[in-house]
Amino acid sequence: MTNVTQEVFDPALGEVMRVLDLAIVEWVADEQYRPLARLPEWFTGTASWMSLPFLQHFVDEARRYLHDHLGGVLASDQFTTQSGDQELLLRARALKINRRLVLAIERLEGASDIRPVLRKARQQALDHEVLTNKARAIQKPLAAVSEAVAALQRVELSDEQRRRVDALVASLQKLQAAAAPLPAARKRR
Amino acid sequence: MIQKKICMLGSFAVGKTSLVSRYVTSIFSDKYLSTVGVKVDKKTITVAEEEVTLVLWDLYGEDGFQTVQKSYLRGAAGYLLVVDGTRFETFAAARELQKMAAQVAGDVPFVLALNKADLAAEWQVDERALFEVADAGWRIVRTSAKTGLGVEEAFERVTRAMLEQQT
Repeated sequence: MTNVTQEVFDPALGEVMRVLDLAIVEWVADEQYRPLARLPEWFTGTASWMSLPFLQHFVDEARRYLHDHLGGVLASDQFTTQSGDQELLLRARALKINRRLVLAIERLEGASDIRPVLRKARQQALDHEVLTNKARAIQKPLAAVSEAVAALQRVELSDEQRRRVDALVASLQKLQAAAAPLPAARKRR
Repeated sequence: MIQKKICMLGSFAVGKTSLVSRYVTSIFSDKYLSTVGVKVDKKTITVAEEEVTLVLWDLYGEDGFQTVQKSYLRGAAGYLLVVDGTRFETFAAARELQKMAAQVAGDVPFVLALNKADLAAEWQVDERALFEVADAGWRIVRTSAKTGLGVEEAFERVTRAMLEQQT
């Protein structure tokens, strides 16, 4: 069971944290944290502390890391949690102060919130995948038509028929160019 | 009470978040909201007269933009490998993810969720490949986060297998 008790140490520190919009908590024991300053509303409002299993995972990582890196700071991956109707994107940083493990949890907003960009990029990748599959799907029937046209070209035809086959060949070439396999989608790491 | 960690694995846009949402809150949204980072939900169920709290780790989809951190799989008692049945590429990706998961989490139970079963007309998953993995012992469940088909079954099967492995 998660246990968070409100305890404000220093009013000045609390004001600084309010301005910085950071939640500063000390890890006490498994799934137990103690606030070191007044917590932002978005943090206290996170429904049932659902994100905390991730935080515990991060604490385990941080304890290992900070054991080997004195004075170091470890930043977590981004994690999301529900706060009312809102999905918050958060990141935690861990550091050790006098053997105490302190976590600074920030809400990622504005330019720090990469979700809209990533969603757009993934939507484009999906659209590209659909186009590639469609282009791939018409390759077989296109090859069959191409074979049939080649066979027509080999037989004796009247001038009128030859003109029509030539027009067919020109259209087929355009179709083949349009349906050529699409280049792979560009991906970033 | 027993608590078990289950990870959701699969390519992007296969429906991992939708499956969790359908399972935990019975809600499905057509709107695609790509997951960034990690989202953890919990659900308590009773399986084989045992009360189990499932801690569901919805990991972002593996793709060129984000790579799943192996450490998230640590401590997982099982996982759901999610494939979009209308995108054959996602099946190949799932096979790769399964290898990675087996390396990190060990020989823990998993279920292959063939998601988007409501779009049967657009189905692309090769039946032969499915037979192949079924022969290798994979548990396969056809699911649809949209209609709810197979969702409870997929989570229940992996939970049963986790409890069996525990005993």
